[in-house]
Amino acid sequence: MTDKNALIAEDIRVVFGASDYRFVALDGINLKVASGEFAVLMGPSGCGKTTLLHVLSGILRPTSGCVWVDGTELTALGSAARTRLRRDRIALIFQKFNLLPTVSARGNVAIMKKLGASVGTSSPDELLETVGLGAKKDNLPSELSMGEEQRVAIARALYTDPAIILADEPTGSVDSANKTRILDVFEDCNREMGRTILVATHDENVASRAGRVIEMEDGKVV
Amino acid sequence: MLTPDMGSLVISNLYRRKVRSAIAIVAVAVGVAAPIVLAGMTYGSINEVLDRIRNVGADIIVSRTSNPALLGVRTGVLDESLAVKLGTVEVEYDGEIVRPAESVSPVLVWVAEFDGRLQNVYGITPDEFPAFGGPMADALVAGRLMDGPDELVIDDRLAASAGLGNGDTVELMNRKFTIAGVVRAGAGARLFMRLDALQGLTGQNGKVSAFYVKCKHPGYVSVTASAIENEFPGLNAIAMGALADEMAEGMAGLDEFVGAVTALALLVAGLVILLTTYTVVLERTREIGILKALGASRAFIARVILSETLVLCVLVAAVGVGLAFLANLAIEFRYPLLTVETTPGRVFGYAALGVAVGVLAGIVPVLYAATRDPAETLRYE
Ligand SMILES: Nc1ncnc2c1ncn2[C@@H]1O[C@H](COP(=O)(O)OP(=O)(O)OP(=O)(O)O)[C@@H](O)[C@H]1O
Ligand SMILES: [Mg+2]
Repeated sequence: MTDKNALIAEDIRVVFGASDYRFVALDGINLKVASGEFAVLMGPSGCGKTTLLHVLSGILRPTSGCVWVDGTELTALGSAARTRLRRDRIALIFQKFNLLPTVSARGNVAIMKKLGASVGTSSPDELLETVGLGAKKDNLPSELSMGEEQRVAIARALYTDPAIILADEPTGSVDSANKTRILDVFEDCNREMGRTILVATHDENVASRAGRVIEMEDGKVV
Repeated sequence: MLTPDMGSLVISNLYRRKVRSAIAIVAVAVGVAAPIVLAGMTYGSINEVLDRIRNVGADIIVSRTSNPALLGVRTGVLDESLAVKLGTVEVEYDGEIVRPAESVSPVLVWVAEFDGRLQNVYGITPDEFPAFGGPMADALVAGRLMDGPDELVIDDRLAASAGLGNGDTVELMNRKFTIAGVVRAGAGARLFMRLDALQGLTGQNGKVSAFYVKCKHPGYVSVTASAIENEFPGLNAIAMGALADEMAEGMAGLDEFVGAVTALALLVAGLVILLTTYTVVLERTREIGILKALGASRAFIARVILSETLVLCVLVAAVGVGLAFLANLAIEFRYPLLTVETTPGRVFGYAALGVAVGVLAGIVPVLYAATRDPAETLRYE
């Protein structure tokens, strides 16, 4: 573990809605994740975990507050630069998977290279095998179970060789065998490759593998 | 624009949405085909009329009306004997007094029903009739010229549309006629009878509708036409070359008409494409959000969707052109008397225009979708 911070969030506020309906999803979040750290975000449903991961990855602009990614102030960047930073440094594993519906499992992993991301040494096929989907490479997302879709999303995230992995309930839809498999992969990424990992979860099993647990409640870190 | 890698994404998007793609292709193809067929029919009919006038072979038509299309309405108003006087008209040309007329052929025009349609019937003297640009016998494609009063000659298009040939018996003006021969089309009318026979049949003995005057020299035509009008008040002498040009000029407005209808058809096609791409984008807002969330640049997203639109539009143009040709074939089969004129230039032009409209229409929703925050668009499900 180094003293450098991979992620810094400073006084993040996210308010949803307009004049008549306002909801404060994040209420002054301060957070640091060190480079090479494996941390989990825990908290009850609706406390703002997904919202925070969206802000940290730059796909949602916070109402106020700043985010630094590897020393770059993400919240000061324009949309195009933010997109590029995300592509090059951050892999985001969505709670709702977000696979492209018209392409196969393999295509969903391979798409990252087409987007211009630098990719690691493992091929999409090898990564799908790593997550236990060797036999379903040619299936469309609609031909996969939830747990299988989730594993495709994980393979996609690992393909780009990212410095930072933000995973939103990555084990939410899988059985315990696959949960172990996924957590092994994450641990590998963290220990062997020194990647920074931040996982949002309700699951104590996941939390037990992490170096640190960050507790959230009602849009705040507690 | 379309890299092979991205191409597969485009193709799979189109392929996975077969029904949407098919509907869009057919709808827009109709939009491309409509102006091609419309323009083809319009220009075809007009040019056929103009060609018929240009092909008349006579230099001047002398009649009581200034519009040769109305000849059949005011029939038998001229004395056949006028031919001799017309033949001896003298004009001054290049300082010399000349007799410009090489031949003067009387024509009686009558309108009669034939094969369920009103047709002009020309009563002519086959030996002198100059409308084929040479002897009428040279224009025969089958049979021979009419010898007796019970014989007709018809043109090949009427023969084709009515399914008739030489030797067949037909009824015209409540009389039985035998078709003696078939001539090629383009001489003003599609039915020809001997002048005396038509005069007798219609009670117009010694009367004709018009005279076709052929000049010895092209330079004589305009002076001769004015001389005839001066010498015979009440007669119109129309120089055919000038008439065709004048009519062609009068058709200039028609270009605008066809242009307007074309624009309308393309506008509808464009709206269909706009609607299609808009639905695509709505349907795919999430997908665009995913791509952007994964780090796709705006340019990449725009390229994927525009390539998709472009591929769609090119398919559409191809289907549209095919449809237009089928429609043309169908029209010519069903209505052999209609000329549909489809030039490669026009087909290509409309197809290209269709593609351009499609791509332009495709840009709008792309710009809209590509500039939104991904987290916002990811919520669409
Ligand atoms: N676009 C939005 N508009 C309004 N409210 C929103 C929007 N997105 C999220 N919220 C609200 O913000 C709160 C935090 O949502 P978030 O998805 O971050 O929760 P979470 O901690 O990830 O929950 P879970 O554990 O169920 O995934 C929720 O109460 C949710 O209703
Ligand atoms: Mg969540």
